[in-house]
Amino acid sequence: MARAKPALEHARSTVGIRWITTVGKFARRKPLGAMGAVIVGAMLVMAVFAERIAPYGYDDSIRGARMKAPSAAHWLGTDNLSRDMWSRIVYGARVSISVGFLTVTLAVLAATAVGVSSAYFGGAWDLIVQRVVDAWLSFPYLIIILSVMAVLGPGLLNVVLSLALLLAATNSRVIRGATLTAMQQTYVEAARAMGCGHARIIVRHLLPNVTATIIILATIGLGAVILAESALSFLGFGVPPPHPSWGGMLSGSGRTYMLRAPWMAIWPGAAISLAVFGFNMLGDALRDVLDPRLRGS
Amino acid sequence: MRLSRRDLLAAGGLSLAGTVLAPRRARAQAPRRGGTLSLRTWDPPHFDPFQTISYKTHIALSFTHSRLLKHKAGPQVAPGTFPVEGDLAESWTQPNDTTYVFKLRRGVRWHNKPPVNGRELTADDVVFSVNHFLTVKGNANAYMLRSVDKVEATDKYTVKFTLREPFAWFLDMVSNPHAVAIVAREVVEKYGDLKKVESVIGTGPWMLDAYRPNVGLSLVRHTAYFLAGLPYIDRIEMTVDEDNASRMAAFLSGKYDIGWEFPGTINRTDWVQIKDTLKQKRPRLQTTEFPSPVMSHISMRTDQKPFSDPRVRHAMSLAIDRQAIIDSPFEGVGVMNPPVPAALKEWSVPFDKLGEGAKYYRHDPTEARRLLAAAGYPNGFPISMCFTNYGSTLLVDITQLVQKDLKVVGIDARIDQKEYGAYIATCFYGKFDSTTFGPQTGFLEPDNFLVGQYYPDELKNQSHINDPVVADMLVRQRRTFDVAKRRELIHDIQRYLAKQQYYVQMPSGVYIAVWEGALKNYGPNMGYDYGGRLLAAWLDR
Repeated sequence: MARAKPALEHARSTVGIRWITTVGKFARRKPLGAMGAVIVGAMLVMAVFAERIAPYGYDDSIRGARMKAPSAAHWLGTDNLSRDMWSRIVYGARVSISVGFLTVTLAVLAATAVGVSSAYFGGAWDLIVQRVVDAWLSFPYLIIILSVMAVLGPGLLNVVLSLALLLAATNSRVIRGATLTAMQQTYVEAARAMGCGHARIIVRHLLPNVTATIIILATIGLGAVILAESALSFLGFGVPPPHPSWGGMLSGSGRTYMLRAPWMAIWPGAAISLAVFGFNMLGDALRDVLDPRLRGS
Repeated sequence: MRLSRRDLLAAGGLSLAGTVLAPRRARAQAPRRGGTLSLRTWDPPHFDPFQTISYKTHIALSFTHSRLLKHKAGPQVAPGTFPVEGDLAESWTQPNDTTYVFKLRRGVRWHNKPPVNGRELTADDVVFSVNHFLTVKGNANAYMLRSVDKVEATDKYTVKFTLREPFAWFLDMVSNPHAVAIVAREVVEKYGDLKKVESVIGTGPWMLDAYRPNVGLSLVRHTAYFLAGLPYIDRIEMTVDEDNASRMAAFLSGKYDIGWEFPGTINRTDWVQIKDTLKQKRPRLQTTEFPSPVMSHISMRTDQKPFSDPRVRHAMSLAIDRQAIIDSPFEGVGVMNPPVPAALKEWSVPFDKLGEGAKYYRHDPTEARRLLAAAGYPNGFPISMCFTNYGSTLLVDITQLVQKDLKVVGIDARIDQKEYGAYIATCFYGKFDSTTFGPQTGFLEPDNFLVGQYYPDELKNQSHINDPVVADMLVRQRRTFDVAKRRELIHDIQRYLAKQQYYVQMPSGVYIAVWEGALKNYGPNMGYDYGGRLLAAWLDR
């Protein structure tokens, strides 16, 4: 036992060093990706520890501080209801990040299942799935969302579900295309010739080769979802007041008071832009690192 | 006195200027025909006035259709007052409490479009329209004339109404732009209903020339309009513009002649931001301010606990900081509302005459907590609050303030946000479990506010009130023809309701009506009757 402990510590420190080395290498090779990772990380920290980071509650009105410009007391100024903008941005990360992540995760999972299976199995299954997707895509996106929300009712989870359904249909078509390309490759033919089962071919040979596409779709979709959430908030389907979401802050009072108190629109807008930028950069870098075809380039 | 040559020249110049300028000024005051007026509008869901309560449809039809009576308009009419005058009716009499006889103008012509092709309007058209209004399925405004028992044409130009019971507001209802637009039987028979754009045929001052869905409407002068010489304006261009930033930019550049918000106003939040720029860019703009009749309120299930206890309702009202609502969302300019909105200045009881109930409009969270404790809720209670945002950031802001104020006294309001259609179908008509928060239609007379909201089993009795005292007073005011006595009764009703707090009324904002200086003889007011307010207006440009 006396000898096992230092060995464990040694192993741990080796793993730690390897992690640091990997992260350092990633940062050197992909500086923009590293910056994206920092932004995404910061947003996740904001979302998780909002109560500790924000100096005020998201609905605390501060007497005599209506629409105050950014200052030492209120870094990002205050809004028309005398609330601290920085605190609301921090709390807003919770909604925007949750909606973004949950939606994209759900959408990507569904789209991958539909797209890959449709391309791989082909035939009647492909025909039926693709016609359903065609029909789904032929409706304007707002009609679909409003219909789904009318059935399910407003609320954060239903927003996630309706946006995920929409995103999944679009993404599945792209993933199907990428899978069809991958299926033309000789290694898939070889796997088949060797008698590999469907599950093995899909999991070991096809999925790794469409991961890059999936990551790009996910990162691009994330920004779009954050913006779509703002549209839904404005239509009354999003997060009910007074809970802040970046989209809601921007399209709501941020837009109304844009000329008089531009910071009310600038900061939530900047937060959305930064989030979209961060996710895109990180996604790009991850794609470069994870895509077997781009590995080492 | 010696006059130099310079003095003589100056005097001559002044005389010349006087002779040239004086007639021009005189001419400028005489109404001038012609020109195009541009305004912002909303895309109507359809054009059948009997199938929708939507202001989008009723505003468009206010230009093209006539009614029996209408509200007087013009600079001489104080906003918030609605004197009645004849529209298609030249005169009217009331032989007894339940009979009204209207004499129609002769020579009134329908728009020159098939299938009516400019034929003369007769009493049969009025009878058809009223019966259609009362019997067609889906007319949510039919209640306005529910008192009508029978309408008949006694000759080609005379229409007689017989009511089931005395209804002192009958003439106000007939002149209300929400009520009966006079339509032709042939048009209804040809198209089945009046939803199609081709069915927009009336006897009003303008004719629909073109409709471009989601883009706009064009109206041209009805040359055979029954008031000789009117309207003065040749063409009305109405633009559908759903984006506020775009509307604001369009107004700044001079595209619209009147304020882009209903009813020809600019929201104060926007006004504060652009007024200085407007002074430079559009120095001739005219403005006037008057309170909005649109009042939000908290309605609650007063037929159930805890809201059946008046102490709870009093506490809810005392919890609300109304001045904070005026200070922030309304930019410091607003009016407190008793049960009849202050905007209806002839009928709303002033707060200093509201009596004992006035004290519940104060902001007193300590007293609210004491009342809640006395009612058995020392720690408050949770409620759900049904809500839709109507696409209005102002309403969202007010809701947040209300929610915060209630939280301070221990009432934890969870917002149950609904989509607009779902909200109207449920909460707006009292189908909710706990409370609802939202605005009410800005009616033009108190009866619509009071009877709709307080009479048992009325559709808009959101708070499920069944109070025999109120019901009795509401019936009595409808039977009181003497205006002064009726006003006193309406004031009594408000005093009683203030003590009950069946609804917690919020303040209203103050409209800023804005119009181009070149638009003469125009007087802004509330209501959908854009066409009526522009009928005798003219353009000096």
